[in-house]
Amino acid sequence: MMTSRPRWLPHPGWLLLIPAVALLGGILGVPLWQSFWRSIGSGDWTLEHYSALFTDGVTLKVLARTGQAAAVVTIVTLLLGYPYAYLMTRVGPLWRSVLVVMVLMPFWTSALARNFGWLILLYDNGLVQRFIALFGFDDVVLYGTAQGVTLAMSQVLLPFMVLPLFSALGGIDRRLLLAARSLGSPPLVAFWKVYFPLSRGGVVAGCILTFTLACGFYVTPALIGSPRESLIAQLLGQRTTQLLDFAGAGALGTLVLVVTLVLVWWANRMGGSMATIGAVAGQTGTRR
Amino acid sequence: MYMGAMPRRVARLAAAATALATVALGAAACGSDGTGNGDGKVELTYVSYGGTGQDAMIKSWQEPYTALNPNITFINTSPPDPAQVKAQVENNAVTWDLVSTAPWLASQNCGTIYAKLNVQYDASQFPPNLHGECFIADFRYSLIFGYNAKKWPDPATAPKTIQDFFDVEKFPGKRGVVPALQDGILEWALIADGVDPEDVYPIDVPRALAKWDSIREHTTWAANVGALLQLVTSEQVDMQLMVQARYQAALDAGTPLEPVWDVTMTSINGMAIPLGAPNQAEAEKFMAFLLLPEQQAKMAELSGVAPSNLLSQPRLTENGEKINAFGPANTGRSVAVDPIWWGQNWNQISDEFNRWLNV
Repeated sequence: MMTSRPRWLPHPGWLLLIPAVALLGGILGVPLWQSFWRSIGSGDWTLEHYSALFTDGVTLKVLARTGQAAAVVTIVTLLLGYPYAYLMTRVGPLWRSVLVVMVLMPFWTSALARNFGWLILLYDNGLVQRFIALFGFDDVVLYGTAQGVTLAMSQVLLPFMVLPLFSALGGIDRRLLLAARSLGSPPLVAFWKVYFPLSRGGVVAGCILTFTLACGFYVTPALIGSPRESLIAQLLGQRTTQLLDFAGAGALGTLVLVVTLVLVWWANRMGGSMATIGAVAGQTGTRR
Repeated sequence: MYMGAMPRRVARLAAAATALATVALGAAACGSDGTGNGDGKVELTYVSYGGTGQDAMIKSWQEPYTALNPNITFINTSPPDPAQVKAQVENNAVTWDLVSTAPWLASQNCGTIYAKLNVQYDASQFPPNLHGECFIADFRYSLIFGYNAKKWPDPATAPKTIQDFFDVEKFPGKRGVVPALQDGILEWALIADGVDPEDVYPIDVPRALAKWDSIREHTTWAANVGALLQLVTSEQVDMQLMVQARYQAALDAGTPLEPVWDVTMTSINGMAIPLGAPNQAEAEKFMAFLLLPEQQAKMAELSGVAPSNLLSQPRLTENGEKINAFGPANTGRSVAVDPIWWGQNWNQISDEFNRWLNV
């Protein structure tokens, strides 16, 4: 990462940021402002589009469903990702590469191919259903249900949990664990009281990334889920492309953005920091 | 080390994205003045659903038109996202000339987003009131009730009326439907509930939804027609309400489907011109051309949709004829979805339906 420390006069190195800022400002900032502007009536100040969200009987329900799905995905990826990332810090370089490749696989496949792959796996009498039936659960329906969507989203989002965790866990000095053991702590207590608190930054960073990304998923619920169990992105799509209700869609988008930012702010205060997210890129980029 | 590949990959991706964005911006900037320059050459930007359907449009409408009028060529793109039409019109940056559109949408936004049309055609060759003020019916399609013959092999005991679709006692099994209001699923439920087809409009929405409620737990709502076709060909559903062209695809794929010719909903697909399109007059001439019997027949043969011109006589395959709701195979009744009524009521009913669907 850059280490320049500008005083009151900016360091010339900041000039390098101009293209990025211009690009983000142009393709993200301006449209974002426009859709917010439309949502409050394009100058004729009104909050009707916002009040409609709370009274139409479907938005809040879908918002809650989206939050719930994103929370489940976050927990699932955390439970799967933590031991996985831990293992990555404990094996040799070869196996570590194998583990990295395995977790990054979803990145390298086209979103459509991946989702259609899941579709085939999740069908009635498909591979997943037959596998689950081996354990005595024969009536689990995955295609067209929130469960199926959660499963597919968890796989796709796993890297976003594993990478920050790996970055955080890799930086933990294992001698602290030895010290705890030598002072008489049982292994599990040493893990819980020494190791886990040190990893909290990674946990929070991974959870923030996974949760916010899960909130915006569109293709997976649209393909694998059911219109009966829409998530918020589908509702947004419908408002824009079917009802041509740009103001209403802007209001919904703004609401989702605010809810997400509040959650991120709260999680940020809980421990860890946004810096950990940046640190993933930083560590992988410079140190290794 | 081992993670070294990550950031480089990300950097390359970012570079590629930037390049792409620049190219796209550049293309958008030149697009608006790249057409209709002085020497009589006109490029019409044609936007439809992509895939085999648009390929069929290119072969049956565009290529013959360019052969007759060498100065007119086409740029094809997809999808015909109405939100993009609205954005283009609002920002005075219309680059699309011809766009496939749900007819109710063109009717709802007639004169505000879509241009009022002046297309020359012989009205006697079309069913009455088929074309609208802001759209032409470039083809027709139908929503057909059918079932899997493996599930009910004996025609004597198989589903015969549209009431049977809602009768899970007599015909247990999974139903597949796309929740697309424009195809007529509410009208169809009302008719099954005893409403006379002449009296379905204005739609009694609570009554229609109550009818759908009666089989709610037995119905798989597919996200789109492609998803329903997947469900049908992989035999995940036992009966379905599906559009005609997809029946042909399923039959061609060997799925043993039988249509039930009792009441079939027919709809039209619309083609419209965005307000302020660069070449409206040329686009209207092209519209008149594609409505001719021969062009309509060719499109039907290539894609499985039905011609809107009554004089056109497509030569269909055996499977195509078997599920052609507009041909002699259909021994039942056809009811046309009313796009004008939907244009006036779409937003409210769509919200109501969405609420019902997501309860």
